Amino acid sequence: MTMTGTPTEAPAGSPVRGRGRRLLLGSATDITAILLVIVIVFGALNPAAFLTSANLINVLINASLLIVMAAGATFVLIAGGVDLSVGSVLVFSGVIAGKVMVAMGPQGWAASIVGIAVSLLAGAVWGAINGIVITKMRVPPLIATLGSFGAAQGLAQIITDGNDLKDIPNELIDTLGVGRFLGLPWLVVVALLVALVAGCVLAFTRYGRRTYAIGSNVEAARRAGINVDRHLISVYAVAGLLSGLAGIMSYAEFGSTTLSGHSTDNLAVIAAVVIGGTSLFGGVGTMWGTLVGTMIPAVLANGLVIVGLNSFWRDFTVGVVLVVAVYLDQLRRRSRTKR
Amino acid sequence: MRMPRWSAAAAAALLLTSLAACAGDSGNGDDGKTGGFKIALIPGVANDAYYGSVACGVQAAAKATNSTVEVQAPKSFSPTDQIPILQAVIAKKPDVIIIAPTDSKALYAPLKQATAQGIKVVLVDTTLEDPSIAEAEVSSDNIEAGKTAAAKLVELLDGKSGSVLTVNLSAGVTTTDDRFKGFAEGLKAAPTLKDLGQQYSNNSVQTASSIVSSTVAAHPDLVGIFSTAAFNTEGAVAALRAIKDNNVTIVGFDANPPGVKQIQDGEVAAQVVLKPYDEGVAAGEQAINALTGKPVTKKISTGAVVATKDNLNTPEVQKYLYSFTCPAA
Amino acid sequence: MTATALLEARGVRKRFGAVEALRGASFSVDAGEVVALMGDNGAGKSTLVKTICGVHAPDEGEILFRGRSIVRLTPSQIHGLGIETVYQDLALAPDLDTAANLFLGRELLARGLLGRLGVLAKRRMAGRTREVLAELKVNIKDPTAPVATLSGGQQQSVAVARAVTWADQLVLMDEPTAALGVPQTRAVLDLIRQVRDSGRGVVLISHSLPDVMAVSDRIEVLRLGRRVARLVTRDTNEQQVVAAMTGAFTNEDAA
Repeated sequence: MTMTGTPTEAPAGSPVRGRGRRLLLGSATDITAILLVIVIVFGALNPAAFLTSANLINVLINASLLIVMAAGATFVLIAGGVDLSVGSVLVFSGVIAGKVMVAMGPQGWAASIVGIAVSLLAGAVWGAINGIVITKMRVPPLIATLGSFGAAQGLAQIITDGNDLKDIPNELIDTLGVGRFLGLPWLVVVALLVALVAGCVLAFTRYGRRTYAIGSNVEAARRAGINVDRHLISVYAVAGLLSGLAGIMSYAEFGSTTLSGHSTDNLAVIAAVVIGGTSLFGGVGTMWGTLVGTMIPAVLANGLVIVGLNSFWRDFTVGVVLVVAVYLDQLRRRSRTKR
Repeated sequence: MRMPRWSAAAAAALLLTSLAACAGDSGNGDDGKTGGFKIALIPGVANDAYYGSVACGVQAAAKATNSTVEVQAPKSFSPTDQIPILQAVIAKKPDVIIIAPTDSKALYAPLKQATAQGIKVVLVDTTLEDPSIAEAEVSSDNIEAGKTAAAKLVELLDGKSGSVLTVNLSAGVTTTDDRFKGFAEGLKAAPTLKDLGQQYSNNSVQTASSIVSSTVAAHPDLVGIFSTAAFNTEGAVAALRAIKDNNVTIVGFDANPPGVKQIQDGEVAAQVVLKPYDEGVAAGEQAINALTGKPVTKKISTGAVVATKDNLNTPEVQKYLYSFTCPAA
Repeated sequence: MTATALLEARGVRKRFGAVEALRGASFSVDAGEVVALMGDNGAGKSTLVKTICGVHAPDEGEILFRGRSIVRLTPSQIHGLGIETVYQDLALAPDLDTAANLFLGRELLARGLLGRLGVLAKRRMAGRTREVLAELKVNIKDPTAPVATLSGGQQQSVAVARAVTWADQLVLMDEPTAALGVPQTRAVLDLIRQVRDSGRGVVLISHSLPDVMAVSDRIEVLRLGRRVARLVTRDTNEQQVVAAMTGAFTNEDAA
């Protein structure tokens, strides 16, 4: 039951200013402020160690895999879904790429390029499977992707007999793994490029808008003539493809498929995306927010070690920041709906 | 909603500053040539009493020269967790980093970054495929320890015949690989025992347990199990307890508190006890040698003892049991 | 009334399992008029509307749009003819703004290469939205705000504006004022008049006798799946309408 009385419009402030802020940062204004505060505090506590370009570049490197996966997860969450399989798909794609590269090489640019392509493809296929199970078989996303979380990891371990693959063309290691482009590590360049492209698609294209629409009101989207099933399958496939990209990036970075090192990636990705202002209920979110959301755990991990705290504090702090971010998001939502 | 935003930011600032204040500062090490060095220790994983003993050893060596030791451990035994910590530690520019690499290849490049900045590196416990960038490598002679374990198992089985299984950790970890190498070698001395080879648990108690149960089902003549690490022993003990099998003798590795209890309860016949405290002391000493310009011993191997119910309480064995509490110097 | 009505349904039958929702229902609406479709619960109003819009296919009977049958068409094809429906739940995406909702599923793309890549023509859509809102005299202070921030009446107006944007022939509305307070109801009724005055036909399902008496030109009453009365609003009164709904009055020959 709506209240009677004059209809009140959008949040306080003139429409121009409110719209400007919305255009700029979406739901991510608060979280950008929090990131700045964290950087300032660590910078003040130990500027010589924390505020060097070398250290900040290391932070970016450590965040790069997460950024790539979180870009895909942003689409999935905005569309109203969830994907728990990201870390396992990363590992699986790396393993497939590794096997193919060994068969082809194991050195050389040809093997490297095929390796990259295979990793992307393997990830995309898993993602599409997720999408099909969710839309056509009507299995809830949480369950469906939990299933692939186990299945992809399990398959990866079966294929490798539980032992990490270590053979990777030196070309890949030297460029993607440790190489730089105009002073920035390739890993960081790729991650930022992915975030940029994903952000543009989200903000400026029909594909992005329909993703928001489906997450906001799937029935309305259907009635408007949008092929919801096909769109959702493609969103999950993109998320899988990006996990595949992260897989080859990880392989190049560590020189190993790191089978046991990605089991908590899914939670880290979701936490980053939600901290960045994307709603777990769909319809709301920005890529800038996701970028900030991935930087916060990365900066915390680095800064906490520099000031001398045990890295277990990182898990505690990220947990607290996650809850605070969702709380702020709820406040924002409640203040603008009248129901 | 302006209020919540600013108070959130203020709260975040307050939280961080108070956390940082509670943190032990890494101390103001002087730039003394003979002492007062800043030593950073990066174990393989947190919450493992083995590395607790290593840390105690390093601290003992550091104390002698008035140096400080700061310990930062990854929460899982994986380069994905260890490398970000290493990089943050490098940013603090310690004088030397003592590290137990979680991957023999992946840690090379980041450690090279450290040496490029003039930070010295000492490897402890595990090592790199290419250890040339390190001043020294200190580890247990795991091959020897494996042979010792085999000898003890043969002694305990006293001529029985049957099969023997090794439950190992993950492939590519130098220490545990060597333990199996030594064990397999030593087992050859007993022609009545069939070597079933090794299976990997990837450091999961669950996996170790199911490996043992399925092996018992497939090989009813199983008489001995060699476990290369604590979690594996736990898993083996649990699996045998569940099927009430008393015919299998377990020789384990690592004497952390649960491992000691296993001997006391009779579930494990013997534990091979390495000497992580000695490793830590040696690593610390070589690090200081490198910093003070004294001659460095490039490779040091520490040994092992075998703990059984009989000798558990002798001072010889007691002083090597793994613990986070350091023995009085 | 012209010889060929804009939309005419004749003798429509529709059964769902054991329930026969429509038993030879009829209906007609012309361009430039508001026809209220009334009836008690279970009379078949919603089913008739959904059948007209292509959501259901009738078992028997005919539905003619400008004299041509539309029973075999899909909902998208029916939209293509210029017929739109505003359902009771509005089908708005609450997190999207007014323009985005107006163009939901029918987004305008930029010209040239950018458009082929799927880039939206946001400025053009915003402009079109302003025009439509002005034309319908709907006042939304911040069209870039998510529609969830609008009042119930304004959301209803956005849903109607959307239907009007794409339907240049006929708009059907299911209970548009049911959840609204008095001032918002007045605004929506004004909006309905605007739509009629623009030359489109309007079909209005409503339980509210006062609203129907205020805005409709004609009233057709359904009872038990069949049309039982056709009334001209200015020549009738509330009691007669109620009587038709309860079965006490009929001016329709048995079908």
